[in-house]
Amino acid sequence: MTKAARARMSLAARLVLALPYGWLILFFLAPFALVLKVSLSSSELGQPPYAPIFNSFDLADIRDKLGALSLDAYAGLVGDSLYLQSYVNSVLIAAAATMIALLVAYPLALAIARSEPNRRPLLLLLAIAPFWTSALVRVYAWIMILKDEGLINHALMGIGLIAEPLHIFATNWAVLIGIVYSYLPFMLLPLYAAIENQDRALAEAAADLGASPTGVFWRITFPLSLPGVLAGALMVFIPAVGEFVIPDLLGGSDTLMIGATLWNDFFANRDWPAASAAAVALLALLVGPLVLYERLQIKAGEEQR
Amino acid sequence: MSAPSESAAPVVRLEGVTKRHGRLTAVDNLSLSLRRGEFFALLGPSGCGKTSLLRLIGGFEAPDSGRIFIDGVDVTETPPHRRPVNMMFQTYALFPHLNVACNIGFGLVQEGMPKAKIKTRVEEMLRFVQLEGLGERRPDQLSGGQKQRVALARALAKRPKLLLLDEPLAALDRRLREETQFELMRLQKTFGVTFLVVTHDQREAMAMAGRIAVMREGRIEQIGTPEQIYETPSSRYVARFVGEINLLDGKVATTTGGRVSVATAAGAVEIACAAAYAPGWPVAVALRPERILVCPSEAAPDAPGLNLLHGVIEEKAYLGEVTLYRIGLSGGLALRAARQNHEPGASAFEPGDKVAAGFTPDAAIILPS
Amino acid sequence: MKRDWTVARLAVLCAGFAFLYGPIVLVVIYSFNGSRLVTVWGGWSTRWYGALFANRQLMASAATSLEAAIASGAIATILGTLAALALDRFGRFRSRGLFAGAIYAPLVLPEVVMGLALLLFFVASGVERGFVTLVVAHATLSLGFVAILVRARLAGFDRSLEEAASDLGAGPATAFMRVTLPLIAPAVATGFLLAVTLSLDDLILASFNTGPGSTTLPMRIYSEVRLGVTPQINAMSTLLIGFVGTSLLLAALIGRSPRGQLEGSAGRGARD
Ligand SMILES: Nc1ncnc2c1ncn2[C@@H]1O[C@H](COP(=O)(O)OP(=O)(O)O)[C@@H](O)[C@H]1O
Ligand SMILES: [Mg+2]
Repeated sequence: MTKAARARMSLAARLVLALPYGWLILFFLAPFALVLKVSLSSSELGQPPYAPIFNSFDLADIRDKLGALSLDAYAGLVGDSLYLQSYVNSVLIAAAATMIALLVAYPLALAIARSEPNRRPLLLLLAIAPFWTSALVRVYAWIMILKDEGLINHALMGIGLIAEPLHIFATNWAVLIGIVYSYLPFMLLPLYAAIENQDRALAEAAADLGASPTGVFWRITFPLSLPGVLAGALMVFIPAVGEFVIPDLLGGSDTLMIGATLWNDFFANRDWPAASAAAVALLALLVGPLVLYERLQIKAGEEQR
Repeated sequence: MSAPSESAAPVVRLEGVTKRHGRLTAVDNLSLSLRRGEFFALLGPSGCGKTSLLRLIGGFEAPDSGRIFIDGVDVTETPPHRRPVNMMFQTYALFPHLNVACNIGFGLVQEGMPKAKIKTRVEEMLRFVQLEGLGERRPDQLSGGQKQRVALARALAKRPKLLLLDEPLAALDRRLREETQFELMRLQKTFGVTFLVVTHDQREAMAMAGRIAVMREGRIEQIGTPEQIYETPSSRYVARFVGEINLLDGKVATTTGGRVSVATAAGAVEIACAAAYAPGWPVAVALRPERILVCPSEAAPDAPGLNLLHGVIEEKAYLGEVTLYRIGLSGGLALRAARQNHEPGASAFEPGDKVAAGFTPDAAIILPS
Repeated sequence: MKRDWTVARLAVLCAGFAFLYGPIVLVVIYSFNGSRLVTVWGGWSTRWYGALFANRQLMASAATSLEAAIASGAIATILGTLAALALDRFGRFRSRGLFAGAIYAPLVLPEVVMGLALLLFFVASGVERGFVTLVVAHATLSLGFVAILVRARLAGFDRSLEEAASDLGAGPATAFMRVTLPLIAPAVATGFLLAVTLSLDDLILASFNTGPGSTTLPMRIYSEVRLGVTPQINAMSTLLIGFVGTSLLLAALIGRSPRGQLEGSAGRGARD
C-alpha cells in the first residue's frame, strides 16, 4: 500500500484490520513461538512441568543461555524408534487415506456435477451435511459398525458369509475408514468446484474431435480438475497427519500416529518439552504441504475478485 | 458407389427432425439436405433453434423424432465422437490446459495418427490460418481473433466431411469480422469441406454463403441463394428479416397479363407478377428502399408504367454512401427510400419537401398477407 | 448410451450417500434400542434419553459447551467478518500474506498442534485455564471459517452498491451498516452457525485449554466412548445430530444459496 493510501485509511478502517490481526498474532502466531521455546526446554516435575531456558529477551542473557539450550526433547524424538515409527506411520496412513478419499470422492463429485443443474445444490448440500455433525459422533458410529461384535460382523455372520468375526476394529484399516469418512467433504468440495466450473463445451469439443467418453474424461475433465484434486488432497492430508481422535478410538495399540503420541506425551506422561518437540517436528513435516495449501487458498481468494 | 453419384448425394440429410426442450419445440419437424462442398448458412433471429439444429447434427443432442444421415449413413444414434463432422464452438472451447499445437492436434491424436504426421499437419494448419510460430502459446495468451482461428484450425485438422460453425464471427469486433468472412470463404474453397454456418446476421450470411436457409421458430421458412432470398422472399417474415423492406398492405384490384394492380391506402400500384390473384385478395407489396426513385413532386417523370406515390419527406438520414428518407404517404402509410449519394441530387431533399416515390412494376413483388 | 451414464450416475450417488449417511442413520436407530447390546434389538424405547437427561454431569457439560459455543461463535463471527472485510477491501497491505496465512491455516492445521500451542501460551502468560481460555481457543479456530464464508459473499458483491450509497450521501460507516451488512448478513449468520457447530464439536482444543470446572460435552463423550459403546452415547449423538440438522436447515433458509456457503464452510470459497 502506498504512503498516501495509508494516510487515507480512516480510523475505522484501521480498526477493521487491527482487531482480527491483533487477535491472530496474540492467539495464533505467538503461541507457536512458545511451542518452539518449550521444545527447547528440559523436562521437570512441577507446574508448569518444564524449565524454561529463555525468560527474558536480554541479549546477554540469551547469549549465556544459548549454551544451556536443551535438545533433550529432540534427542528423545530421534533416539526413540517409536517416535520415528509414528512419524512414518502418520504420513503413510494420511497418504493412503488421501488416495482412498480421492478415489471415493471423485466419482461422487463427478456424478453431482453431471446432474441436472437445478438438482446440484441440493445434492451438494446433502453430501456436505454430515460434515456438520460431530466428528466424535461419526467416529463413534464406526466403532459400533466395525467392532468384532459390531454390526458388520453381526450381519455377515448372520447371513453365514463368515464364520469368524473380521478384525477390522483396532487396526490401521479402521483408522483409514475413519479418516476417509470424516474428511470426505474436504475432498469432495474442491473436486466438485473444479469439475462443475469446467465449460461443458470443452468436453463436447473433445467428443466432437473423436474422443470417446473415457477419452474425454482422461484428456479433458480430469486434467482440468487437477487444481481441485491438489486442494482436496492437501485439505485431507494435512489434518490427517496430525489426527488424534480417529487413531485413538478406531486404531489398535500398534497404530502409531504422531498426534496420538503428542497427546500421550502431554496428558499421560506430562512431558511438555517432548510434546512440544513432537509438535515442532509435526509442523516441520507439514511445512511444505501447508505452504502449498496457503498459496492455493490465497490464490483462490484473489480469483474471487 | 461411383464417384459422380457420390458427389451428387447430399452430405447431410435431415428427415423430419424434431427436438423439444420441455414444452418448447426448438426444432420442429425439419428436413434439409446439404450439397457436398457448399457453403451453407442457417439464418434466423436469436432463439429460433439454429444452435439446437447444429447440435443435433454434431450429435450433442438426440432428436425426439426424425432421422439424420451423413453421407447416406444414418447417424441418428451415433455419438459425437464417431461422426465424421466437426464443430467450431460459439465460445471456441479451446482446451485451456493444452497449447495451440496440442489443441489443433487433439483430434488427430484421437485418430491414432503417427506423431510425425500430426506435427506436419499441425504446422500446415497453423500456416493456413496464419498463426505460424504460435504453436507453443496457451489459449489464454491469444487475442480473440487468434483464438477464433485456432478453433477453426482445430476443427478442420481432421478434414471432416462437414464443418459446423456456430456464430463463428459473433465474438469478433466489426473490422475483424469482415476480414474473417473472406478468410472463412478462402478456407472453405481450399479444403472443399462443406460448411454449415449459423448466424443471426443476414449480411454475414449473404456475404459468405452459396445457399441460405432462413429459420423461424424451429422451421425453415425459405431456402435459396442469397439473391433469391433477397429478391424474391417467400414470405413477409423472410422479407423483413433479410434486409430493409417496405411492406404496403392492399387488396388486389385486377390481374391482367402478368401484371397485378393492387389498391393500397396510398394509391393503386402495378406489380409484375406471374401468379394470378383473384380480385379482392389481401396482399402486401414488398419494395426494397434502394429500388425507389425519389424526385420532386412537380418534376415527376411521366414514364409509362412507372408507379408514382406522392408524399412528404418526414425524416432524412445522411449515412455516407447512402441517404435514407422516410416519406409519409397518404392513408397513413410510409415508405423508406435509400438513394446512393454518388448519384447527383441524391441527398438534396429536406424534411417537408413534397416528393414523388417512383418504382417500376418489376421493382416490387407481391407477398401473401 | 446416454442412459448408461444416467444409470452409472445414479448408482454412484446412491452408493456415495449410503456411505455418508449409513453410519449416522445407524446411530440414530440404535439410540432407540431397548437393549443395552448393540447387536441385540430390544424393541423401540426412549429409555436412554431418560437416562441421558438424568445424567447431571453430562447435562452440566452440555450447558458449558453451549455457553462456550455461543460466546466463541459471537467473537469468531465479529472477528472473522472484519478479517474478511480487511482481506477484501484493503488491497495489498504489508504482511497481507502473513495475515491471510494466519486466517486460512487453522482450517487444516492439526488441532493437537494448535491446542498445545495455545495452552503453552496461556501457561506462559499466567492465565488460569477455564471457560475464558476455552472460548478464546474456539474463537481462534472458527475465525478463519467465518472469514472464508463472508469473503466468498463479499466477492460476489457488486461494489458499486456501496459507491451508490456514498453517492447518495452515506458515510463509509453508514454505507456499511445500511448496504453492505444487510447484503452479507446471510453469510455472517451461516458463519455464526458454523462457528457454534465447530465449538460444540471440538474435543482437542477444549481438552488442552479448559479448566477443571468447565468440562465440555465432547470431553465427556470421549471419555465414555473410550470405555465402550453405550446406548446413552447413541442418544446423546442423536440429539447432537438433530441439533445440527436444525441449524443446517436454518442456514439453508437464511442463505438463498446454501451451496456457496457450504462450499466455503469446508474451507474453499465459492466461485459462482
Ligand atoms: N438445453 C436447453 N434447455 C431448454 N431450452 C433450451 C435448451 N437449449 C435451447 N433451448 C431453447 O430452445 C430455443 C432455441 O435455442 P437455440 O437453438 O439456442 O437458438 P439460437 O441458436 O437460434 O439462438 C430457445 O428458446 C432456447 O431457449
Ligand atoms: Mg445460438
